[in-house]
Parts: sequence; C-alpha cells; structure tokens
Amino acid sequence: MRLDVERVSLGRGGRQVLDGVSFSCERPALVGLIGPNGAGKTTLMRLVAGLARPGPGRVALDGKDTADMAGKERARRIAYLSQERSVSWPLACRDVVMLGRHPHRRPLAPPSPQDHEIVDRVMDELRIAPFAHRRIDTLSGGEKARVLIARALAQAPDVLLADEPTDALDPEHQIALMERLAQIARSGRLVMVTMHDLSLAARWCDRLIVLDRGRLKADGPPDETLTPQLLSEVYRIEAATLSWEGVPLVVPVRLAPRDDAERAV
Amino acid sequence: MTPRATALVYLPLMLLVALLFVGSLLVGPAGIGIARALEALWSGGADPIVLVMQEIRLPRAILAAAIGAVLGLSGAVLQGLLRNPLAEPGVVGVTSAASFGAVLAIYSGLSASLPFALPLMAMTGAFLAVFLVNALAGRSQDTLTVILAGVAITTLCGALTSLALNLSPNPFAAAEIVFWMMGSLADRSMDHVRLALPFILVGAGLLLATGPALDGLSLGEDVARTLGIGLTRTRLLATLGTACGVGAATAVAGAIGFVGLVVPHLLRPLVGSLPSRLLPASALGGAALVLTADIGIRVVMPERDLKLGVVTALLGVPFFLWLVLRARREIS
Amino acid sequence: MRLLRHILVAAALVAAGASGAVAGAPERVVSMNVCTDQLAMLVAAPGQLVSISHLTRDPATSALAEEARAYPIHHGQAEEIFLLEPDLVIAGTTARPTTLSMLRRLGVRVEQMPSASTLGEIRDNIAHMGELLGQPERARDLVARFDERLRAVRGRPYAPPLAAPYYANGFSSGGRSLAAAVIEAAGYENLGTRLGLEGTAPVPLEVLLMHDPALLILGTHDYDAPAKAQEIFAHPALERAFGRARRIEIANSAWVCGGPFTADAVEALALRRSKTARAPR
Repeated sequence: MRLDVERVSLGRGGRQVLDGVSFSCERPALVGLIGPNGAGKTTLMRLVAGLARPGPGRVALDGKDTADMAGKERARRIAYLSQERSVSWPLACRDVVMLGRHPHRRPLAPPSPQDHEIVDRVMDELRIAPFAHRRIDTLSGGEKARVLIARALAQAPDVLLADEPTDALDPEHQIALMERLAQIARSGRLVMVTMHDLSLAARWCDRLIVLDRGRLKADGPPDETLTPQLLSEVYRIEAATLSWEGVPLVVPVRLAPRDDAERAV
Repeated sequence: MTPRATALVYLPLMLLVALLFVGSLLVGPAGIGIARALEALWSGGADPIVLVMQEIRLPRAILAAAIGAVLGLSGAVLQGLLRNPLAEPGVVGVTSAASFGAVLAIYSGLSASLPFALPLMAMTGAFLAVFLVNALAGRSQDTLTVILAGVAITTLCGALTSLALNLSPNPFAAAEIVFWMMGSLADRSMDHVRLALPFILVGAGLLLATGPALDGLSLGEDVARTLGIGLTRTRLLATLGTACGVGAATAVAGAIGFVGLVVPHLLRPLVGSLPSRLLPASALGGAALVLTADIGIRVVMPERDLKLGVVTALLGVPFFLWLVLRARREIS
Repeated sequence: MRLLRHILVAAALVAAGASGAVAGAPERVVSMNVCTDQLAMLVAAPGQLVSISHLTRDPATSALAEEARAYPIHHGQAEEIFLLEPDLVIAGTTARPTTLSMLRRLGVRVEQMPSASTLGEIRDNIAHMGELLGQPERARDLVARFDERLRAVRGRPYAPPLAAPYYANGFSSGGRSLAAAVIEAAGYENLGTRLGLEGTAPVPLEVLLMHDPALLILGTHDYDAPAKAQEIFAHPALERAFGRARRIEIANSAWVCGGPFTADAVEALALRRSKTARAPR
C-alpha cells in the first residue's frame, strides 16, 4: 500500500495554508507530521482524510485519487482521529468502537458476527474490554483516547490519521499512546500523527515530515530532520538535542536569536 | 448493549402502545361496554355504536399514535443531528411554522377545494423552519443559538397565525388560535387520517433512515464524514422527514409541543444513548405519551374539551427548564 | 319566506305610520342590540328608529339583515350614539355597562331589554317594545299574528321524536334556550334538554350519535370564509348517520333573537315532523 500526496495546495481567506506539498509513504510506518502552529499540519491531515479537497494536486492511495472514492470506500481504508474528542451522548464504550464498523456495514443492517468479532479483538488489543459496557463519559482521558483509537482500528484501515492524539494527556498516557501507535504501525499500517512534542516525535516516529507556513520543509528520519538549523528556522528556538540511554531527546531551551523587527511580529 | 437488552426496551414499549391504543378506543363521553365497543370496530352498518367506534374513536386513536410517534421520532432525530439535547420540533419552531402553513391553507379556503393543500402547506412551513434553523445554527454547536433561532421562528409564525386568523371575516376563526397553538384530537375523522397518515409514515421512514448517520455524528462532523457518512444526505433526510411528519401531524392536530423533547430524554438511558436505537424507541414512546395524554383529557375533564397541547406543554415545560439548567451547569 | 317577511315589515311600517302612535312617544330612537334592533324595526313608526347596530345587517345572526340595510348603523360607541341625539336608547342586557352609564350621565334615556328564551318572552318583548316606542297597537297586532301562527302548528304528538340542533364547534342548545322552546313547540324533544344542558353547550359528536336523534338541525352557514369550527359538519360520521331525510337546515337567526320570525322555524320543523310521521323511517 502506498500513499501519495502530490503537490497539494489549499488557500483559505487569501492565505496559502498549504503550498505544493508532496510526499509518499508506504506501510508499515509511523509518520510524524510536525511544524509550528499554523504550519498546515491539521489542514494536510484533513486533506488526506478526505475532509477537504486540494486545489491542484491530489491525494492517492495505491494510485487511486481519494477524491474519486465513495465515502464508505475511503472510510474502509483511511481512519481519522479528530483533535476534537468529545462524544455527544453518554454512549457505552463498545457502541463507540462499533461505530468504526459503519463503512463495512450495509445500511440499517444490524452488526454481523464478523463486526462483533473485530470489535472484540480491537478492544482486547487496546485492553479496554473490561469497560466495554461503561459509559464513555465516565472514563479517564487516557482510557477515552484508547476507546477512540479502538473505534478507528475497528474500521480496519490501511491508514490511520491521528490529529494531536497526545494533546491533553499526562506523560504516562502520552507514552502509552505512542507505544500503541507504534505497535499499530508495526502490525502493518501506515500511521500518521500530528504532534507538538518533539521528543515524543523523535522517540517514536520512523519518519518526520516538517511543515512550515504551508510548505514542506524537511522529510526524513528524526535524527536527520530535527537539526539545530531546522529547529531555529522553523520553530525559531534553540533546543538541546540529546541522547539518553539511546533515546533521542529534543528539549527546547530558548528562542532563537533574530532581528528585533521580526520578533515584534 | 446486546440485541436482547434492546428487545427488553422495545417489547414493553410496543405492548404499552398496543394497550394504550385499545384503551383510547374504549374511552369516550358515550359509555360503551368493552365487548360491544371492540365488536363494533369490525361490524358494518350504520348502527350508532359502529359509527362512534369506526368514525370517531378509531381515527382519534390512530392519529394519537401516529402523531405521537412522529413527534417523538423527530425530536430524537433533531437532537442527534444538532447534537443538542434541547432540540425538538416545537422548540426549534417547526411546529408553529407548520401551524401557520395549515392556517393559510384552511382560512384562505384553499383546503376546502383541494384537501391535500392542508398537509402540503403545513409541510412547506415546517420545511422552511427546519431549513432556517439549520442555516442559522447548523454549523454552530451552540445550544443557545438553536433555541434562539427557534424562539424567533415561533414568535414570527405565532404572530402571522394570529394575524391571518384575525383577518378572517369568519367570527369563529379568531377563537381558533387556541387550537393552532395548543393542538387537539377532538372529533378528528378518517378524512384527517387519510390526509395525514401517508405523510406521517413517509416522514417517519425518512427519519428512521438517519439512525446510523446520527450514531456516527455523535463523534463530531469530521469523524462522521471519515466514517463515510454523507452529512448533506443526512441533513436532507432529517429535514424532509421532520417537515413531512411534523407538518402533516400539525396540519390535522394543531401544535402539540414537547413530545419530541420529553420522550427521547426519558428513553435515552434505556437504550444506551445510541441514536439509532433511540429512534424506534422514541417513536414508540411518543405514541405512548400522546395516547396517554389524549386518554387523560377524556377521563379527567371529559366536559371541558381540554386541549392536548396544554397537557403536553404542562408535562414538557418543567422538563425543558430542568434540561436548560443542566445544560447551563455543563457549560459553566 | 323572505318575501313574506318583506311584506310583513312593509305592512308594519304602513300600519305604524297610519295609526296608533301614543302621544309623547319617543321621536329619535337608537337601538343597540341585534335583538332589540329587529323588534324595534318591526314596531317603530317610519323615521322613529334612527339607527341600529351594524351586526343587524349580518345574515348569520339577524333574521332581518336585508331590511336592516334601510337603516343607518352604528358600532355601539357611546359618542357616536350620543351624536345621533336620541331621546331613547334601547339596549340588550349584555351591553357594555360603561357605555350605558355614560349615555345616562349625558342625559339620554336608556332602556334595557332581556333577550327572549321562551316563546312567551317573545310576546312580552314585542309588547314591551310597543310600550317603549309608544306603538302598543302595532305590537298587539304582531303578537296576535305570532300566536295565530303558533296555534296553527299545535298538536303535540304523544311521543315526541328527538331532535338535536348542532352548531359550529359541536355546540347544541340545552333547556331554557329559545332553540329548545322552538323545537318543543314544533312537537320534538330537544336533545340538549334531555342531556340536562343549560343554554348553549358542547355536545360531543359521539354522544350525539349514541342518542340517535330523529332529526339533526343544522344552521345555514352564512360565512363564506372557512373556519375549523364548521369542520364538524363535514365529519363522515354525521354524513353516515344522518341522511337527507334526517337533517334540516334552520337559519340560526331564527332563534339567536326571539321575534315574530321565530315562528318560521317552528313552522318549518313542524312541517318536517308531520311529513316524517306519515312516512315511516
């Protein structure tokens, strides 16, 4: 399976949010999509998810333009975890996970035995089977995040997109979640995450795609992309890039020196 | 929630509706024995009991069940679609817009020559109201915006209805504002069933079809779309279904409010909150509520012609206020 | 019927002008109520009645709507009535008290007359109107003719068949109503009286059907504009229960106000009864 993002651009309100971004990914891989606020990460992810259409350019899955796919066909191949994690009603966790089977079910048909089997399996995998019948509004943030991932996995997708999945989680759950995503990638999927925590990105991602003001700035393994020069140019910070017991760490230290005029902006 | 647990909710509700339906047939100002009453439902001829059962009580029971079902259903659908616990055809202004459409059809004399103009104009009014609410508040998740849009539509349509009735040269018309604001099933006939029931059934079908999409929508619009759910299609189904069902219901029974608010809320915990399971349950619950209310007004105050809409409002408004308080707590 | 009424009114006007006016009779009379209007129109001498209520031109409530076009109308406001410089104002008992007291304060003589709810009260009211207008002979003539017409339809059956008037919104007439008096004078039993109703009260359609009256009395609808109130008349149950032979239309105006014209309704109902008594149902 191969995902091609080809020269996608998107303007909004007279501003170029994405400007000719191209890259290709193959599974299995855990790809981090990073960049400062407003770089276009979420927009790019929404484009790949089929939530917005690129102006020129295209997003293709195994050579087929995702814009030409029917909603359900795309949904069987690409799952999306929104930054917005609220669930409108106090649904039972298992019902939430079952929602992932929607693209595989016939309209108005009850879930098939296979649907139940898959839901049970992903809930086992994510160790949320014990609270299958608990209401989602009674779970902790970490538990809820796992339920929502299980929902996405129940779609049995080739590509899993997660927009800032570690946002608002404590360090324990951040690490647990990244481990989980890495594991999902190893099981043969392409996992793409947007994130702000550079250490997490460096530690868990196989590959980082760096966006800056709508343009692709760097693309490669973490140790090649997160260079002091890039951090200064893109993030405008100086960071300590360390290694602790073989684990890469990127610790932002101070703002990069620059013109006063520029800083005022 | 397992299929068996779901059945444990549906089956008692079905039984309740069936019992209330029969109960509705047995209640009336003319005391008729149970056996004779039920026998008269099936016999021919023009015996007074046969007429009372077939032409007065049967249409009343059918309309109560059908109207209650579609009101409960559309409340559940609107709540799911707008992800707003306060949404309901009455609250968002659909009922009063349908009333206004019906008033135009009746008092202009149009429905006298074209009977189907009555449900069709009520449905047009309802459609415009759902469309307006969607346009005003569809994108925003804000609970208040929807309610305020509904208040604006309700006030406008209420004023236009009063105006239309006051302009009628028929002195009875002005007094009928009460009917259009507080509906009633008194002395409805099989003619009304024939006018409304087909549209109510079509509307209910459209509304029920939104179930899976509403399930997906509980995860937010973006996620729903990536699950392959067509939002435009879902909105269209909900809009047309509500317009059709609530429009036709209001055309023959006037505005009956709060059924769509109370019923889904009472039943939501029983079905694990999942919209697709809530929809059929709300239809059954709505039928049960309106049948109960309509039996109630005939038992409690048989002489006074108490309006059905008064009873549902008396039940619904405290409930509504409680929900508002709860929503306010959640916001703050 | 209408022609007959024209002739009667014309005759009344001629007779009143020719003779019988008592000395000191009021010269400018304003009537304020549909019922007193109609009696005054029948009793007054030409020119004596200067204005009547606008409602009296409405055929739905007034039996003399046509004739009322000959009179100037008012809308019941104290000032418009005062400006007519009446020496007598005749009002019903339901007139706004504020209007009447204001007229009285302004020095106008105001008399009130209750509406009739029995045939006897119609006689009394006609006679009273004769006294008020100083036309006692005209009134006596009207009463005599009224009595004569009623006598002609007497002959009450041993077991009077049941009749039920049915109005908009499913209302009917109970005991102590003019409609009940008319129905009974025509040899029927009134359903509302049997049900123990008072005045005009709702009768649920199914109660009406269960009592299975021999005659359903519907008003003539004089409103062109539709209203839900009249929907009840199109109810299929009424259609199925009461065929042509079991229903009759009597203008509501025959018993909204009691007057000589109320005898029209008695005659029409009695005629129907004698026809159906001969032809078995």
